[in-house]
Amino acid sequence: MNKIMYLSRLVAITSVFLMTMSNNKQLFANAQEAPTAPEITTNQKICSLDPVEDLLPSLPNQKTNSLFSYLAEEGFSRSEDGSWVCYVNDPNKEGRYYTLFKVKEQNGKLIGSSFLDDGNLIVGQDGRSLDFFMTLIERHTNITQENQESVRRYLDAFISLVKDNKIKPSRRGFLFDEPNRALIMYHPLSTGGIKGTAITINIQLSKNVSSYPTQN
Amino acid sequence: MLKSTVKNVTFLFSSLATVLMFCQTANADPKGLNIGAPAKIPPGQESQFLQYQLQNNEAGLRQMRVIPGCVVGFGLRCNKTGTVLEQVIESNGGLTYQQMLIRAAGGEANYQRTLPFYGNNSNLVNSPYMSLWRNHSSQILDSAQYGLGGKLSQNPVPGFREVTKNFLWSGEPAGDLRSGFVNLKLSYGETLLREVAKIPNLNQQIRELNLEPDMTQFYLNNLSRGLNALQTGNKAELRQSILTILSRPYAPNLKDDGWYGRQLVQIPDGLVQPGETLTPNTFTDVATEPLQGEITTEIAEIPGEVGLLSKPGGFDGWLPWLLLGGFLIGLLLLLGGEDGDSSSRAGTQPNPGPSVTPNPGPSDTPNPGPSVTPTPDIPPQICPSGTIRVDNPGNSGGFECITPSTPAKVIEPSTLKAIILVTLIYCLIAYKRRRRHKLT
Repeated sequence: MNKIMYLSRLVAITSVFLMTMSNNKQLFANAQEAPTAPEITTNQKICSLDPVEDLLPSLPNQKTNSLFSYLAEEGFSRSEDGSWVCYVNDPNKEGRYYTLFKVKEQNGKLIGSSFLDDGNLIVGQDGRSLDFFMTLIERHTNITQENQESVRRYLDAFISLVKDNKIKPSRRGFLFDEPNRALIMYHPLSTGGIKGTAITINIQLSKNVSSYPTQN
Repeated sequence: MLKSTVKNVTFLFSSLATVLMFCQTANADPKGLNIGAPAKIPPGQESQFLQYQLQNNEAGLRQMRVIPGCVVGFGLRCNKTGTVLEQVIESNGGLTYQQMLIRAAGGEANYQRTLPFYGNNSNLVNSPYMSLWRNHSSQILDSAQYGLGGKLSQNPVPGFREVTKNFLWSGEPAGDLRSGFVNLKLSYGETLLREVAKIPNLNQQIRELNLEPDMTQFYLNNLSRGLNALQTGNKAELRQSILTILSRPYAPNLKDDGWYGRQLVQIPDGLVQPGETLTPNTFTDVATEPLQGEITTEIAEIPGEVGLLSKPGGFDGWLPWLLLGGFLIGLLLLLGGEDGDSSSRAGTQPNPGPSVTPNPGPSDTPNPGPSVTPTPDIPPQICPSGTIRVDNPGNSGGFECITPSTPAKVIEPSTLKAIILVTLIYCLIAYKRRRRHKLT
């Protein structure tokens, strides 16, 4: 009798375990991605257009406890005004550097930009911009993994339109998520050292997500 | 005894069923972009939605028609008969979608000649599944207007007829972009029907897809209507049935209100709204020099940090499994043993609480606080575990410690969920058992 009990428990618990595992795509994905993901991340930091740079350790900024400190891993550095920035060497002018990516928290809102010097994307900037925006969305919104795929396709479509010159720069922000009030826009730059345009996202930070000490 | 065993087994499997139901309802969340409207944007139609925003920016359009809940197909193919027919053709080793489209367009060369008329729009490849219902209504999200990036012109285009006369559809060759699009769509539909007609046991194969009975019937009806029209050569009927096959999705519980199964979505305000921007800056090489010096001095310090950080990372793939495995084995041992007294049970009860704590939550930023910062005591010649020593020939005797892999994040709640579920079941069993003890 005990054997029957034992077997039935074994079957029940094993099936619950297996079911939870198979239902839990997140866990599966993580367990499977663990060996492959590092290859991608070590080879492609968001803020690096140089394969050698990818091998270098991250900047020392990560000691600061800020909302965006994880970006240090991606080669970003923290600037004095509290924003996190990524500079790139101007491919057309030796010695000139300009902001490629920048992110900042302002009045409970996250603002992240990808800058187009002279209105042109540099090689690889489309993919990196998408990764940059998706990193911010993964970190600062509660959008489910499944719906993040939808967001990725939306942003990808937007960046493709910019790349193909099929969207005019303006101050219009296009909503793609509620209640995070996430917007994307393609706008002209009026101030700053760059004459050109930028792709910018805005995300309303919810209180529990942005409850870090805001020293950013 | 037999009775109690049966009761116990029943109890176990009923809890199993509860968990199963819970998991299924949890998975039934509506998918797609949430724009604050009651319905979500169907997955795969994001670029159409972006076009909807761009094209209706100042128009004040507040209504949108979307295909509700996709069961078969993705994006523009959502729930449409053509999707099912393509699946059947492909599983029988027939032509692919691409091959059928090219055939419909009068061959590869003719398709390539057609493309420039549509501004070399790569989305033309999806045109068979774009809607033209209600006179190309702007409300329909999967319409050609949003699929191709703008309203199609009805003005004659010189030389276009030369291309469209090669389309398979034997109607009047199209002289303008809108009728050209319609002709391409009809040509594709005809090709699809011709290909699917070659398949033996067609209806049986569609039934074997095991879709809902209503859905299967919907697809079978549309198919037989199309095949009949193809056989009899009734052009008007063929046209109508092709449009149904390619543009009308199966929609349960929706009466035909003239919108062909598309659900009305009232768009809230603020779909397009002003946003905030940042300013960039530039600098020249001179400014970077002190910064570079700073970096090199810091590099020596970094490897330890990286190494220490990567330590939990090495277990990333295994830790949840080990924890769960250990927990389960413990549980099984507990349950499998003779009915011991409660004190021995308490003694061996595994405690998953503290062993989970080393893993930070998903939204936590990596905390390089005091616990992680490297101690200066680490001997300079030894790399921390988990890193590889790479000698640097440039620097005399210098070396760097490189982490072979960056730490991948573990989304902990998933593991926790599994543990909680198992614990819940265990608690229920334990409770049951205790009650039985009391009774006997």
